[in-house]
Amino acid sequence: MNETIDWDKRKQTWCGLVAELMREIKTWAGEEGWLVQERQKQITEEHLGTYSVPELTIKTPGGYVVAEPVGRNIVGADGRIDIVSFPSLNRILLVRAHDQWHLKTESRVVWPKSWSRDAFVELTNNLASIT
Amino acid sequence: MNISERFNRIKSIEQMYEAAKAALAHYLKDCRDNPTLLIGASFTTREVRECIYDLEDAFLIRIFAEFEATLRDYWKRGCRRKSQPWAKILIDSIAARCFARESDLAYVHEVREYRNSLLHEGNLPRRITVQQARSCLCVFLSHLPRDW
Repeated sequence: MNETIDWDKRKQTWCGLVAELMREIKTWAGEEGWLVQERQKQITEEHLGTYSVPELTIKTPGGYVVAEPVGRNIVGADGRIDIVSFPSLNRILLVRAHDQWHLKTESRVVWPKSWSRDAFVELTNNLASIT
Repeated sequence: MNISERFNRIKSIEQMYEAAKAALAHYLKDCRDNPTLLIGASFTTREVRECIYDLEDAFLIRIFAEFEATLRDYWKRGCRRKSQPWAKILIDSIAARCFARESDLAYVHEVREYRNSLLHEGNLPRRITVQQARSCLCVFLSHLPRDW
């Protein structure tokens, strides 16, 4: 079955999606006046090998939040990015499925809003305010 | 009990293993230096040496038991499920629920299969160290919520 999967293409698509999402987050965070720091995160996955994708640290008035890519090959999804607050380590999962990003809590409860600028600002404010 | 306490428990089992291994190694050296220590004992230095070797597998079984107990607690209290699935099904279900990495899931199954081989005296596919087991089991647990 593995022969039918074009792993290079899958990796390129995933890296493109992550880059696009991070650009979106940077724009939204900038509009809120939040400081954003970008670094490259190396991820190693079976079949995909080692690759780099951007990871963002966002400084809001309430605290720090990190948008951290987890990987493309995820059980039950087509990719996952965690949005984690520091130092509380609370997180929201941004899960790729059916060509869309879906927000879920750690308990797998679906976030009441779909992925959008409003949802991002609201959840970032909520996460950052938790100490 | 939250996830960091669970991590600490697993880490402490690894530390107990290191302590037991060091103690046995010292004892083996003492017995070699002074064979009279074994007078009246029901074992020889050979058993002590084999004990050091088997110790790692015994602690690996213990670490896996702690890992499985964590998953079962999450299943029962975090997911509010009453069923008691087999370990493989439990692990797969929680991996899907928590959107775990496929590779993290595969490593856990390697440890589980190795643990099963040890318990049931089947063919041992390859040796997995306590440190390797602790590492991949804790990585898998990091996909669980912080608390439940």
